[in-house]
Amino acid sequence: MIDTINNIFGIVNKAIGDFVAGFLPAWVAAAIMALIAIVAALVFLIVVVMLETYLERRVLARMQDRWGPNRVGPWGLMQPIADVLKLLMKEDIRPLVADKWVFFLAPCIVLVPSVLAYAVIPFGRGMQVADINIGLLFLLALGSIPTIGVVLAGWGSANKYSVLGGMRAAAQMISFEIPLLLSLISPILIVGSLSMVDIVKSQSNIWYIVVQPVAFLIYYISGLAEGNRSPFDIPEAESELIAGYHIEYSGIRWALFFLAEYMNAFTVAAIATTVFLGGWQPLPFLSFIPGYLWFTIKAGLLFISMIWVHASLPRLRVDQLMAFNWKVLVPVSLANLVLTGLGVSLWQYFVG
Amino acid sequence: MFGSGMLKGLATTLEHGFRRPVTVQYPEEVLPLPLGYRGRVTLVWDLEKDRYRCTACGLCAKACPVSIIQITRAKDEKGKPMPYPETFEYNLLECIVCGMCVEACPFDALTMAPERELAVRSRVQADQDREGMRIDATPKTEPQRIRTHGLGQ
Repeated sequence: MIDTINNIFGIVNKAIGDFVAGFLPAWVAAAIMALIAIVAALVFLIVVVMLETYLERRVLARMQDRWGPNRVGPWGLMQPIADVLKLLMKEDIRPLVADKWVFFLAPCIVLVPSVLAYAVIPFGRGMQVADINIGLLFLLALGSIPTIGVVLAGWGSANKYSVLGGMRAAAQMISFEIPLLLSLISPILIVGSLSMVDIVKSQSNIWYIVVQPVAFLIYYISGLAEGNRSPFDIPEAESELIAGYHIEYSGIRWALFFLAEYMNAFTVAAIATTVFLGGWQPLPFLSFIPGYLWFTIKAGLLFISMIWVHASLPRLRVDQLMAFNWKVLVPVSLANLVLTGLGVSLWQYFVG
Repeated sequence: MFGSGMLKGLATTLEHGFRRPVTVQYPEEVLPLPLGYRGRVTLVWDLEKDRYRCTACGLCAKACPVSIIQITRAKDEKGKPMPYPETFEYNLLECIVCGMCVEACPFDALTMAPERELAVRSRVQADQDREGMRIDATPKTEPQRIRTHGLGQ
């Protein structure tokens, strides 16, 4: 019974696969199975993002001694849907002197890599859309693409403040990619493989947060900064540069940026879960809870901790941000990497 | 900025996250009105004398900064003026709720009702002759008065 629940998606997948392969040529069946996996991941993603927007408003509000949206539907759960409907009905404004194609492309460039990242994240045992053997490299590469989207958004809005906001956001995103990478590579030295599935499998004895706590902390902080989340949200702080690089976007175009930010936040949480918190591996005494639920719980708790940080810490100025990155995060993550490498090679030398 | 201060801040917000929010969700929850709340002006009906306490002296009309009180004095059968108002017109839409009229009245005939839901959908609604405009009081009960710097009673 517990095994069935644990593998329910795998069982359903196999059943559909066998059924479809019965009367369709192999390549059509494979295409359909891939499509089903993609749709499943997307559905999960959309539900998660909607929940995220709701949770952010609620948890943030509760930490600020107020209620948060609780009118629309039971406990305010329909609020994200109301938001989406409202945004869909807004007028699509474009500044007249804005470069039409740049203005149009920017949200797409920011959003697509965030969605694409979910193709390689293992949600459970055997539950990933694609198990490529350079999964982590793929994710890190995808994390660099939204930077150009942000610059395009700032530039394409034909607004001085927008350009400034875009430049600052790009500088922030580029700078924080270095500690992000370095802190993620340290556990990889121990795993020996870039495939996300392998990373999760190798944590069946011990989670890497115990082995590499510094790397986890640096990854978490860099992830917050990459996603322009508090306390690093200078690029989109309303009181700073009005609204930064997405000031001229309205309605559904702005919603795309908004979505991309929340997807990014969950991606950071998901990667942290996979690499440091054991992915879908359960805690030994609670293994009756299925793997995919474990993954959701862990990533969800990490996301809620991001909201917690948002509620607690004041915003860093852009020079404080940069100083923190180059003077603290990069040296510490480098040192961590060097020590990890030393440790791994000594282990391999003496223990073999 | 980093270090223990940050951890204390995180602990504070976490603790606040589990408290009940201080927001009062109007209109399901309402806060009780404090004593001396300045609401709509009402005439006081004296239960012992079975009439309004107002004697149509006109002091409230004189005291009103926006001149929204109009009083006409009643006349008895012979045409002699009586100490009773025939009409007492009070414009709810223009009242600034200052309480000068209540302070000015020497007969305790005016008071400010603890009513806060005064919104109307049309001016006609505000002009209605409100039976609920009066507040009952015996000579022993002190109707609500505003407290202004210890002046008046």
